[in-house]
Amino acid sequence: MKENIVVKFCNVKKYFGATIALDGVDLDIYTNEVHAIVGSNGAGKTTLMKILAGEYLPNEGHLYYLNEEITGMTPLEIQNRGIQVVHQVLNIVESMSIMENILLACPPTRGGVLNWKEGRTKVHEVLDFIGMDFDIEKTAGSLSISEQQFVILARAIINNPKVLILDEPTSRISYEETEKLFDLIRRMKSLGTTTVYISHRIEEIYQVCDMISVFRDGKRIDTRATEDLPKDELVTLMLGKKLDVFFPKIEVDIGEPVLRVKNLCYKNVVNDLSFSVNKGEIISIVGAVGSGKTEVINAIFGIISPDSGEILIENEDIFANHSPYQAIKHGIALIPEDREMQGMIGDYPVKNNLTVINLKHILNNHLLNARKEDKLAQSLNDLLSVTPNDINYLIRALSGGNQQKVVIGKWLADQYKLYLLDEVTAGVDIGAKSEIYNILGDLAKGGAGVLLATGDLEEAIGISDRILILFKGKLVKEVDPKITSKDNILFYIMGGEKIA
Amino acid sequence: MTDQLHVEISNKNIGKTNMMSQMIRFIILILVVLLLFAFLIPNFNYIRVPNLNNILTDAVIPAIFGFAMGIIIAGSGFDLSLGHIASMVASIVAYLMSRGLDMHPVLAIIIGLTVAALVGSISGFIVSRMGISSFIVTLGMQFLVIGARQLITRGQSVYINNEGFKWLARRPLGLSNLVFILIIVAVLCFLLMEKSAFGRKIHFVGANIEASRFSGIDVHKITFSIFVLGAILAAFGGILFAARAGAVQINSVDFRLLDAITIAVFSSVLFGRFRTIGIILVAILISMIATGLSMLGIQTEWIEFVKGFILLSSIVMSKFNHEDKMIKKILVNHQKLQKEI
Amino acid sequence: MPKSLSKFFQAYGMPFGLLALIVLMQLIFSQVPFFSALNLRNILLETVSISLTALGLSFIMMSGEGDLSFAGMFSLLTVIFADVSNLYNNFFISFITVMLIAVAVNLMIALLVTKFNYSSFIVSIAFMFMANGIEKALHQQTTLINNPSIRSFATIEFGLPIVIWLMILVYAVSYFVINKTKYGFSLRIVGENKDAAIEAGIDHKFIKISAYLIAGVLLALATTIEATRVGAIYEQGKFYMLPVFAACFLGSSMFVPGRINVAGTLVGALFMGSLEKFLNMINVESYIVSLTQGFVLLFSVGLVAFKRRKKINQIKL
Repeated sequence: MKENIVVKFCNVKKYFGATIALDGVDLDIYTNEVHAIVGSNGAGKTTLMKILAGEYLPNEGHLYYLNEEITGMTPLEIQNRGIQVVHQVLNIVESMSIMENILLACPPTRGGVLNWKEGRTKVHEVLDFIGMDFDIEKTAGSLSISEQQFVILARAIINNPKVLILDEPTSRISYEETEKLFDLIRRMKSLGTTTVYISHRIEEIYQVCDMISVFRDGKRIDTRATEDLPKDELVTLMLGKKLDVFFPKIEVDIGEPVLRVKNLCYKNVVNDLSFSVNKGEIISIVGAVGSGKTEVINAIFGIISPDSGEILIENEDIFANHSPYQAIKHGIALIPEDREMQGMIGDYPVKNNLTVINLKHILNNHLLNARKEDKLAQSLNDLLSVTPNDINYLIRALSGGNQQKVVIGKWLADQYKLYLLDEVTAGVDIGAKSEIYNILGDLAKGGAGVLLATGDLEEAIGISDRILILFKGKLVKEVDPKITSKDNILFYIMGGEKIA
Repeated sequence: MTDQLHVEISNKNIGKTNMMSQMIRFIILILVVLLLFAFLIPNFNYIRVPNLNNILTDAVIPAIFGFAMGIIIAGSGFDLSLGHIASMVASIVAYLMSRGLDMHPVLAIIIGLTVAALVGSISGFIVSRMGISSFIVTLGMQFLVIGARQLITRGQSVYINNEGFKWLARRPLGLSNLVFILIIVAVLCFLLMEKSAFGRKIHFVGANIEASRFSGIDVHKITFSIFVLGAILAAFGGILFAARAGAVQINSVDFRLLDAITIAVFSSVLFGRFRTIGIILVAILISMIATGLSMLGIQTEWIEFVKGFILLSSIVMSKFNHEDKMIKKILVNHQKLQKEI
Repeated sequence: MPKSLSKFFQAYGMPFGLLALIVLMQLIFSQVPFFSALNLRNILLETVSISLTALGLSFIMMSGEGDLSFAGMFSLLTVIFADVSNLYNNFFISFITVMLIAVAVNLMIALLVTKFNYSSFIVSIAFMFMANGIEKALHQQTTLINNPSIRSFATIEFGLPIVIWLMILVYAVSYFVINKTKYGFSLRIVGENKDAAIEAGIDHKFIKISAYLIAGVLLALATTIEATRVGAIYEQGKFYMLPVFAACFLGSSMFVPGRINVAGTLVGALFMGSLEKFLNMINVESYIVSLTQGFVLLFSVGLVAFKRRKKINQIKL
């Protein structure tokens, strides 16, 4: 093994039943690298890292760390050797202090008895190094989500790992904090730590990574130095083919306002927000995590109760006594952010998921009629070309994109006035994405208003008539995507108003 | 291409799990047949009509308790107090019809069921509005109900003299009236749980409460309702028991909770979330086993042990049977790939 | 209110409140000699079994699981202890028998819960019914131990009865283990966030199994004390179900608010014992005792839930 290779994957294969997650991956990661792993859904990124972390066992192949074979070791053994993972899901123990959370895997003991005093210096050191200042006795539950992310980070680096794996680390932190993270990664690099950076945020990858490995369909396609890989070529490698018509061009007549939000306030997350959506329009709300996008959407749908403001649907104020049931009655549809937990009923077949809000359509003398149900479900399935087209299929067995189509599908049985979509293309493959955009276009053409909350700027620019930029719950700018560049939008998302 | 892979696994494994659950049902069938022989051989009377009649009649009240618990479990709740609610309401009804009050049985029953609904409402309210686990709430409620019952009966048994009431358990047509009552209750439960929008919503709330909320279902109302419905059904079961026994004894024998849970869980393992016919079949099966064992000379207390064992076995079997969970397990890793990018 | 004062109030408010309540009751019913040395001693003695059982349940709940089996196992074990004592006239044989059975049953439950992921409440209910069935089949009335020297175990004194010292010792050791050792730290993590425990390299299955085993040992201890002190009372376990749970939940409203903890469980158990004693002393009818106990449980759970904010808590098979 070459002198400066720190992690080596040799022909690693992993399958789950008939799914091939990794199809013979060879990968060398060198010391002092910041190595990006990119690829679309199902490409195998997270599986590869879970194998490295010891959480999965490869079906074939070997992996090496420095000069040692580590195939098949337990997570604890892997951690003890200096390989640390920061997962996408934050696993904080809320009732315990920040210090206890940081030292979760290695609580300081003296003769079998816990001795927190000893750990204090270590914890302060690591927090200084990261650049965060906490009262370490505070309970972790009292922190904000982004602060918790940094606590998890501290936990990972407190023992000077040789390899640090970050899986989508910036999904919950602000852009300023992302800069802090990058700075940390660079400093760790100078101290000898290799960072593996899993992300599909291209801007970040180009900012902080030296090497990029592109994965597709369980194979490593290529590894190149960042400076030798232009962005459009990266996208091509990821997609495998150039997709020309990605965002459908839609020309629609814009009508009267269907939604007007006035002075909406919700705790400190949404601050005096006012905007409107007209019939036939597709509006995107963009903003960093914590900017309030989801809360606005949920408030309009009645999931959360805002503190004050007005929400007008075709001039009717629905603010008082609002609930999802009321929202539906007023013609509002919502495709929620979390497909698994909020959008679909996983243990049930497609047909039941399609009729959950359409029960009134399948009644016969107040009793549910199986034939009517099947008919309605089948017609929706056909409309959306769900694959495989079987209404008795368990929805959980479908791919992400098809699941999302079913989640959207149930709202197509009726004409709604306003469609709210929260990260509708998250976890959805490219093919299904463009189908979804077509659906949105059709909905707008039919005279409905479409409000899209998204973190994907390409998407927002590609299909919206207007983009609303939120920063810390305030509407900082409303832009026309046709004349505003992505850089400008990013600037406002980062709080550009203040700086300018 | 990923879709193709999905189709492959799913077809392969849907087939596999169907086979699993078919196998389970087949094994159960074989066991039942074996049991029948085990009961039959020592005592041929087992298969005689009077005995079958007994078995059927004995299955009625447990089946009603099975419906009660089944509705609550379908909504992902639990109720430890059903047995005691049944006893308390039976005491109330018996008391109202005697001791000089001499109330008409129908009125007494209506009052009794109303009280049950009230108790169920309290549990339902706390569970749906205060976020406390239904185990704990109904544990506490159980003791409140016990207390209420002690208050009413003052520790004495109540003997029922009202012939009209006791007629509920007579057999003017050869077959006990209880069986006809069961059929009526079963039809009502069927219509509610399997054929009405409300029942469908109960299933959804039990399966995924968040998604139900996002679909405009009033999850508080549904959660509240399952406890009310369960309490009413359980109370009705207690009333029928009193009609059959002709009295309400002081010992609150809590075997009814065991029956309720065993039947509901066993049925959901074999037949899915709430299937009316499933509950009836399981109730009959349990009654068959209980009668058979007692004809073999085994004490009633050991029969209780056997029921507990059946409950445990069905819990164990549930892991091998839930088609959806099985697919979930196999696919969860795959789904994780899709999600965690 | 300054942060530290608020924290103090959250941690110690409840125990002081409970004490105040008892004092209030004493003032109202002044004819009853509640705070006499004899009475307090009796309360401690009578609460030992509940306290130890509650401690065992606390271990299980701190690890994130639940248990109802003790409601049936408690009386079954007292019966077994009494029967074995009457058969062999040897304390240790009886004790070891009870210990082995308690640990074995809890081990079975623990394995089913950890290896197969069953809901611990449902599995333990099945065992509760089975234990109940066996108990009924064996005896349907109170069984007393004939051998006076075995019975004396409950009454040997060193100032206070030895069993009280035992309870204090067991609680002290448990407090230390839970709060001052790596094992206890791991246990609390497993109970609060299983995924965090896995990430930290903790073997959560081992931890949960160990919690059940500890609970088994404690249950054996509790039932031995009960059998020697009052004998094997028919279906006593069912009556203890509520005070045991109430002790744990009351406990979770003090010292470490929102989480089940050792010190809280002890205070909770003592309060439940005091309450019942008091009600008996003022000669209320039995239904008032049941009603009061029910209210206390719902109240204590309500306190905790009030903080946790109202998401409907579902039971999934």
